[in-house]
Formats: sequence, structure tokens, C-alpha cells
Amino acid sequence: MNKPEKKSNEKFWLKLDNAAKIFPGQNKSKWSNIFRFALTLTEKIDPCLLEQALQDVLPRFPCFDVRIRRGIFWYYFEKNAYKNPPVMPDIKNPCHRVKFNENRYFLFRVYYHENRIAVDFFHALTDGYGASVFVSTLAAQYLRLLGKEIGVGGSVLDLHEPPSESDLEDAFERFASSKVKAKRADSFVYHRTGEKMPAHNVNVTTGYIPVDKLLETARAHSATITEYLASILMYVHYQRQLAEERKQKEVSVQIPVNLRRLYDTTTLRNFSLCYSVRIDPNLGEYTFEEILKQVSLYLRYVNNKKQLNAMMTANMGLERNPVMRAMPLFIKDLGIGISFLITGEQTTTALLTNLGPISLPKNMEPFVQRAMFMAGPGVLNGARLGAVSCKDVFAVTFANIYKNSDIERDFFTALVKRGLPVRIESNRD
Amino acid sequence: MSYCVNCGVELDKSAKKCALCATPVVNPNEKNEEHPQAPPYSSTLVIPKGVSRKYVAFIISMVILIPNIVCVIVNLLLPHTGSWSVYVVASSALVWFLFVFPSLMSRSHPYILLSVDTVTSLLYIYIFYALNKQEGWFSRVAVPLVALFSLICLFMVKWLAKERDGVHIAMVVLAEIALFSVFTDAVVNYFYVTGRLIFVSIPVSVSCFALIGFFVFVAKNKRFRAWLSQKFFV
Repeated sequence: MNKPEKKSNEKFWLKLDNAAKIFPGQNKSKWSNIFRFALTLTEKIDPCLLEQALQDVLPRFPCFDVRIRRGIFWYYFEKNAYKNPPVMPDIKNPCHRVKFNENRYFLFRVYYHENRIAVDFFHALTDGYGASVFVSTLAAQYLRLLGKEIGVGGSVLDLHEPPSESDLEDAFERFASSKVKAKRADSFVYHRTGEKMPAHNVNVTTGYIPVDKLLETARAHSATITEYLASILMYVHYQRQLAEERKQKEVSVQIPVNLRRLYDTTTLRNFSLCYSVRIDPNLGEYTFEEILKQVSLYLRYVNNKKQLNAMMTANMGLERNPVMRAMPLFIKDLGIGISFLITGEQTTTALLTNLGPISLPKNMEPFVQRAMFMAGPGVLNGARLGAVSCKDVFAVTFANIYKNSDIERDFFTALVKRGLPVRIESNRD
Repeated sequence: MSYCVNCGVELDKSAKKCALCATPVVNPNEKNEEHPQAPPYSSTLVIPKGVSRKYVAFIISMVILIPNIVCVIVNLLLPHTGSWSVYVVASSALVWFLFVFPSLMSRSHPYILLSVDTVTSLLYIYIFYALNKQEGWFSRVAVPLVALFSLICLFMVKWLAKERDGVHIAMVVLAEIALFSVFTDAVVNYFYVTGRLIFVSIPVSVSCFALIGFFVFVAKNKRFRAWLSQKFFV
């Protein structure tokens, strides 16, 4: 086996962005906050060409070409001495934990399987948007190496352009300016649990749905796709809890929002926030329509610059706090670890992160079949959903740490009952 | 293409059963395909390596060993201060056998560990006994107490080999606490000839039996168990 090549000792370093700061502290030997973005092309992937494409693309993404280091007070990114991470055949258990000294110190892993290019990202590096841009640009360059004429635009960046300052900025720092800090939701909520999979295993189930039909169905209910899917997810959890005949807890769905839609930045680093929409079954019985109305109204109420800025400012407040800043890193890590253990996923029943449509250059579209976005497996949540649409296919993927598949089944059969055709792909045996 | 007859979803061409409900796929039209489609995921499972337990055991052993060597050297250089380093070394050895030694085993061997821990504990107590030059209590108090404790542990290891209900475990542990307290009371009182064989252990064992009574009631009464789990769920 060839020894991986090392580059020159360039000194380039970056602070972690505000959202990224908690992820290394949460990183444990059995669990990491990691997610996957994948593109399925029309031809079988050649790993040598993919590695070449990766080497071509990485200089355009200096914020990905890094390793993580421990400082005295904070973690930081330093330019990685290796040329590229290894390109590996895909595995059955995507998004297993990250160890900072593996994978040639890179914080993303590149896989291929048949026609699919899949990349697992440690969340400290970027969010779903940054991941989609990276994988789309990588796939575009791979297709160019195959001799196809592929342009730039949408999620595909121009490799001849140098990375801009805006690409690398911590946008939270620039935009968090509210005078008010938003309060966090704190009550513990319902979780559909069961027998857990062994450590490092996860059940991945993707449902592919025609995007036009899904949009039509959501619009018929005066809702967006995210609102519609979040409502179905909430409804199936609500129904499951009722069937358990136990004291009813609140049901909440956490929904990350891409802040780039509201703030003028092209950062490739984290720039998203999560809000939770919840219902309390103790208030009375809910129909699906009532849940959909509540979800729609709440999401439209919070999805504005003022509310989001207050949330951003609350998060920045911790980082700007002089006492917090002066604390040595190991104490911060300990605090983050304990707070994640106590609250973490206790305040959310499920997660739904919808990246929205991925826009590719017109001349690239014929070579791409579909995209897939997978949220990382949880520590308590069985239903963590990632969704993305590419061309005319909408893909929604469950990452489930439990053996039972009842929530996935309830969710997808609910779509089928509403007249939507769903095609299922899974890593289950 | 195949559809699940139970869920109504379209399945991947390579699927042998539905990923949502495990209903087997039966599609006579797709049985003899020349080029069967590859499954959507590889079958390779990557289980990341954890921290080596032997490596951690080695580090802890070194951390324990260094201050012990220092103590022994200091004690040898200052003989008039007594043989205090024996206590340090003996205590460190006990800690090592109880907590570090199990990490050196690649598989769990509860019976071997229990035997080693019993012998080590007896040796540890014997060192104190021998250095203080008191007569009698080692064989008449320490050995019976350590032996009974080991027997209780042996019983628990054997009994817990099968999955047990939490209520039954609580009852057995309480019975063992009562037994051990009565035995300790009797052995100590017999050795010191206090006149009463059992005294201090009475409130302990009565409390244990009262709690056992409560758990027996809980185990037998399904409605009460349901009420408890509803009131005390976390």
C-alpha cells in the first residue's frame, strides 16, 4: 500500500465557529455528532478518479482541509499535513464515531459504493449546507475527470476561484447582535425507545418520494414540505405514546434552520440553528390537522430574523462570557459532556433536518440520479431524519439506534396512505 | 420492482424482505435475473477500536507503582520511623488486585476474580494482624467474615447468570444484608465475649425483612406495581 503523501508545513489555523464549539466536547468513544451527505451518479464510481477529484477540490475548501487540535482554552483547526483523506468502500454502519487521530486526521470520511459517493462529516466542520456544496463540487470534479463537460453554479463551486473570506467566516460572530437572549426549551419529552443496536451500529432507512407529488400534498394542506413531514413525525410519536398507556409527556420535533436564507453569507462552516416545535397531549386529543396547524403556525412565527438573532445571541453569550473564556479546555469539555448527558436529547423526541433542494448545473443533472442526507444517530432518539431533494426525487432518511422499526413504518405508511409513492432503501438485513 | 404487501412501499430490487416490517419479498417475475442488483449498502461493518484496556491497566499500574517504590526507599533510608511503607504497599496491592487486575483479562472470569479477591483481602488483613501482634482475631473474626462475604458474592454471580427481575434482586440483596449483619454481630460478640450474641444487627435485619415484605407485596400485586411505575416513572 502506498504511503499517504504529506504536503508542506503551511501554518494555517482557524477558530471553531460558535456552533462547532460544543461538538468536540460531546465526542465520546462510542458516539460522535456526525452526519452524511451522498450523491448517486448514473455510473459506477472509480475510486482512483474519486481520490484525484478529492485532491483537486480540497484547496477550494480550506476549512475542510484541517485537523482538530487542543488549545489551552479552546479547540482549533490547523491545516492538515496530509494531502487528502483515504477514499474507502462504503460500510454498513455510516456515521460511526470520529476519532481525531484516525483517517489521516481529517474530520470527514469519503466512501463509494456502486454509483454513490458518500461523505460523513463531523459536525464541528460544517453543517448540511456546507456538506452539500462540498459533495456536489467533488462529484462535479469527478465527472470532469471522466471527460464530461460540467459547469459551475448552484451547489458546485468554481475550483479556479480562490476561497473567499465569506466562505470561511464564523457568521454567528458577525450576525449575533440581538439585545435579547432567547430562552431554551427545557422540559423533558417523550421518547420512543426499545432494544438498542450494539455500539457503533445504526439502522438507516431512506424513503424516496417524487418531489412534485409531495409538494402538491403539502400545499393541499397549506403547508411546506418541512411543516408537513414534521407534523407526520410528531403525529406518529403522539399516537405511539397514546398506545403505550402511560403518563403523557410532551412530544417535540427539533428542526434545524439554515440561516443563510435570512443572512447574507456564503460561509461553508456551521450556520444553522435548531428550534423545537412541541405539543402537550395532556391538553387534550389532537388530530393530524390540528398538529399540522400548530407546527405550521409555530415554524412561521419563529422563522424570522429577530427570533433567530435572539437565539444566536444566546448561544454567543456563552462564548463571549469572560469566565467561560478563561476556563481551561478540559473543564469546558467536562461541563459540555455533563450538560449533554443530562439534557442533550432529553428535550427532543425526534429531529427533522430538511436541506431543501440541491441545485446543480444544468449539464451535471443528467449524470446525477439523486441525493441523500442523513442526520447522525442519536444517543436517545430513535428517529433522526435528514431530508433533501435533488432533481425530482425527495429523499428522507431515518437514522435509528433501536432495533425496532415501528416509527419508520408508521411514518412511511402514513405517506403511502396519503397517496404518495415511497421507495425504500435500507441497510437492515 | 417489488412492493411490500403489508406496508405498500416499493422495495429495493435487492431486498429479500421489507425493511419496515420484515415481510418476505415474493416476486416470481424477478427470481431469475441475470444481473441481480447490488444491495444499497455494503455488508462490511466497521466497529471502531476502543481504548485498549490492557494499555489503561498498564498506565494505572505505573501510576500506583512509582509512589510505592518511593515510599519503600524512603522507609529503608529512615528505618527508625517504623515499617509504615508495608501498609502503603499492601493497600496499593489490594487496590491493584481489586480494580486493575480484571482489566488484564480478555474475557470476564468471575469465579477466578472472586477467588483472587478473597485471597488478596485475607492476605491484606493478615498483614495488619501480623504487624500489630494481636492474637486470635484473624482466624476467629476476619476469616469467617471474609469467607461469608465471598460465599454471598459467589451465590450472586451464579444466581445473576440468568436474567432476574429488579424486585427479586432487591429482595435477595436485602436478605443477604440481614444474614451478613447477624453473622457479623454473632462472630464479634462471641470473640469479645460480650454476653449477648445478637444485638446491633436486630434493627438492621428487622428493617431488611420489613422491606422484603414490601417487595413481596409489590411482586405479587400487579395493580400496585402498575400504580408505582406510573407514579415514579422518570
